[in-house]
Amino acid sequence: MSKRIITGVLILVQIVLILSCSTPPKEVRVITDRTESHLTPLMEYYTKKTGTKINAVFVEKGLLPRLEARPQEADIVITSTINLLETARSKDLLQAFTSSRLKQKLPASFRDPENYYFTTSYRARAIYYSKDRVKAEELSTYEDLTSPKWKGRVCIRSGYHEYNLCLFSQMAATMGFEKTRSFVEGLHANLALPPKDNDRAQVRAIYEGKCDVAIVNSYYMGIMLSTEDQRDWGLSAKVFFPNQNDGGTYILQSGAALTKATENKKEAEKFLEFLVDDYAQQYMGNTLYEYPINDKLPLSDVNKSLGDEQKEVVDGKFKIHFVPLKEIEKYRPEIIKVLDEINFDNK
Amino acid sequence: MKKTVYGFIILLIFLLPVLYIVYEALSSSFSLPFLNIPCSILVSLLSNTLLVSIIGIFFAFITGLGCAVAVVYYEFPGRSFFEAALCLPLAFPPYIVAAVYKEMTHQYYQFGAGIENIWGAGLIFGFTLYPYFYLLLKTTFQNQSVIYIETGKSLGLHYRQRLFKIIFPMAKPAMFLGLLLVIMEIISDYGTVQILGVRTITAGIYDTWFSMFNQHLAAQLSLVAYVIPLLFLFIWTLFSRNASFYNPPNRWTPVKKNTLAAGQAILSVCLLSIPLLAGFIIPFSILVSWAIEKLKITNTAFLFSNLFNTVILAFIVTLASIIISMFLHYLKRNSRPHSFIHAVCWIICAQYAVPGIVIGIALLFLTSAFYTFPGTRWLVSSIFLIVFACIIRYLCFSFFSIESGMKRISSRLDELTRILRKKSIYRIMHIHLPLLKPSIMIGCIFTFIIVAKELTMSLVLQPFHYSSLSLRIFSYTRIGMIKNSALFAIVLVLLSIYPVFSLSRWFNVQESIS
Repeated sequence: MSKRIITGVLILVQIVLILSCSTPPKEVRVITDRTESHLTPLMEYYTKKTGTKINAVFVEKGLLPRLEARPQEADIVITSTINLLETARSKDLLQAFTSSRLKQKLPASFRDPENYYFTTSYRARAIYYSKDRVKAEELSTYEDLTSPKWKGRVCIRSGYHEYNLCLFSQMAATMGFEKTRSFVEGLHANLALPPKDNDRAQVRAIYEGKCDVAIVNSYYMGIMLSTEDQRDWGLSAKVFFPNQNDGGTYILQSGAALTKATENKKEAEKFLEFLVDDYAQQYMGNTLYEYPINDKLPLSDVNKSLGDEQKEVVDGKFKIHFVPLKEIEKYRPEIIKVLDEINFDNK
Repeated sequence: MKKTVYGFIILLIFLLPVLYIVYEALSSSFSLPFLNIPCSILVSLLSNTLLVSIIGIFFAFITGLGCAVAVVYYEFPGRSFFEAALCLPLAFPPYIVAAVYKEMTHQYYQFGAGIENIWGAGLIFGFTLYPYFYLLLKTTFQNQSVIYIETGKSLGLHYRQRLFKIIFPMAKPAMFLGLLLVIMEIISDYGTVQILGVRTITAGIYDTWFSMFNQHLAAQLSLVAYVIPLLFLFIWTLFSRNASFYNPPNRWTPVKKNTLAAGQAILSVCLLSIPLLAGFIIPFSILVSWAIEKLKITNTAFLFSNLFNTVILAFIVTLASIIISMFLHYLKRNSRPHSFIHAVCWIICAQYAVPGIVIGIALLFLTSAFYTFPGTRWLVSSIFLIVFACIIRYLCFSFFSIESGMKRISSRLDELTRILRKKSIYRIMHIHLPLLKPSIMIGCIFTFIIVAKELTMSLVLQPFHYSSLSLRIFSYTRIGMIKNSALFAIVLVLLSIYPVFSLSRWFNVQESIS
């Protein structure tokens, strides 16, 4: 009896082993922290066009620890904050891409000098202000949000969220750590509500009159205006690109990279090439309301109208403050320490 | 000897996540742990966690106790309906209730404080978790021997004195078990507190691990989260060391119910409706109205595959948990009290205190070696890992359910089979299983509904191209579009409604058998 069971189990194990060894990867595996509904249409289009299946896992948080635990799990990493890719590279999880088409298509400012990762699209970390209660002339820079006139009027999501860590780190790389510390402290002092929820909820708070200005990503305006339930929130606010006379507005970049352990580099690179093609770039511009890396492509109508009360912004084109990605990641630990010290999320 | 080996192997498997966390927590430095957590952060995380827990437990306890007393000791119109229906909030994952109420307060009460604070979180937990207290207390009250109450009567105790001097003190173990379950649910919760913006210790673990990439600090925080419920357990054992809660089983008679006068009956129906409305009917009807509103734009393509994944996961975990629990009980029944096996069972059940996120991350790293070999890769790139994680965390539900049944089976029956020289498998199949049927059913139902609602571990361990109802709902909720996932939420709740309704029935069957 028991012999029969053992034989059965052994045969089963054999079958599984043969099955798992004999299937070569025919698909491109993507691990991403981007929103599922945003990325899926693009992947489906690619599969329809080329026949290559894109298999994805959408990890809301913890993209990096997951990649660290299972470096072989994916061929491509796509992230909404490219600085994660710098950390991934420092942990030896990525490999440089070799595709000449990619190199040719990508402007130098949107690609790692050693070709480990590149920007797929970007958005501004902008200031949203209430249409009724704030005039565009009252706003100028990020730093100005710490002045007494904004006391109890500012909203922002959790300081530990990637978007904010990335903004604060870029500031530290630009104006030094001490000045950034006083900015974070000043911002915290001026908050109307404890930092929580997502970016859209901050605009909703403007709509509900709980705050007058909020630091929110630019593309949420387009998304809110095209979402029935959130239209009113978007209509209650306008977007301001800060620091236009002073270095420029900080941007957050979405990025992509090849994993070091990929067994399918050729197919994976083809998909990466697709991401910078006009079709994908226009999709990110027109459907996700981000900015394409190819500045010759037209902006979406919503994005064209952003910042229309600022004379420095023409047709939605604003001055960008580029910070080298290696510089951004350098300040992450120090920024987190500051957030801890002032207990940023507990107002 | 064989038993010890089996016990040791099972123990090791169940302890893997905790051992990993201890290793990570200690491997950063051999100085005192927690030195590198800023004190203010630790204090605010802990105080938030404790406050939410206290408020949640308070509301859950008051509601659960009130409902149980009303249903067991009084007779009024609609009593049997309430007896079953009051369990219904169990079918609702707290994070969905939180998201529904948050959206509602924004729509109709947007200028007030809303529920996005500690009080709101506590209330939501109170209304969704009170069925734990309710079910445990209801069963205890129903089982309480009349001897005690009659003795009280003959000693001239008033009704209220009997309640506070006999009935409630005798129900202490049930109250404590309820408290443990609720506190463990609250501490390990991620969805609800994230939606309501309350930073409890789980949020701290998430941030330190996923934003600061500091796994040592996160592991230290995880240990704190693990230790809090264990501390309660320790205090309880300390205080109840010399107490015994013996209940003579052979003179069990149904509790005599007092019929309420019309006014009192109306009042109790009104009061009992509050938790039912707040914890089930209101959120459910709001979801239905949203689902109808958004029916045209709801993406139903995934509905069936998500439902299928949820059911399969819950089914496999339930089946496996029952089998493992039965095996553990088999080992336990054949060993002396206070033996190694008893300790093993106790430790395995305490794994419910490990927050889901911690089990998830620990398994992710522990199984990374499997991923390098193609032969074992299927194991960790399928739902197997989620199944494994769920079994580790939720085994206590099936274990305790079966235990309550096992206790009622006289050891004389076991001896009888031995005298008849029957194999132990015969004893299990022909004597234990039939007698245990109601207990097993209760265990199955609990495990099934809890796994169907599971979110945190699936978030961390989800394989490629996988989604379940709870994952889908959460992905919509986090971008502020809960209305678009209302249909998915309704399906998830409907999936658990029948099992929840039948819980009461099986509890009653269990009574009649004993």
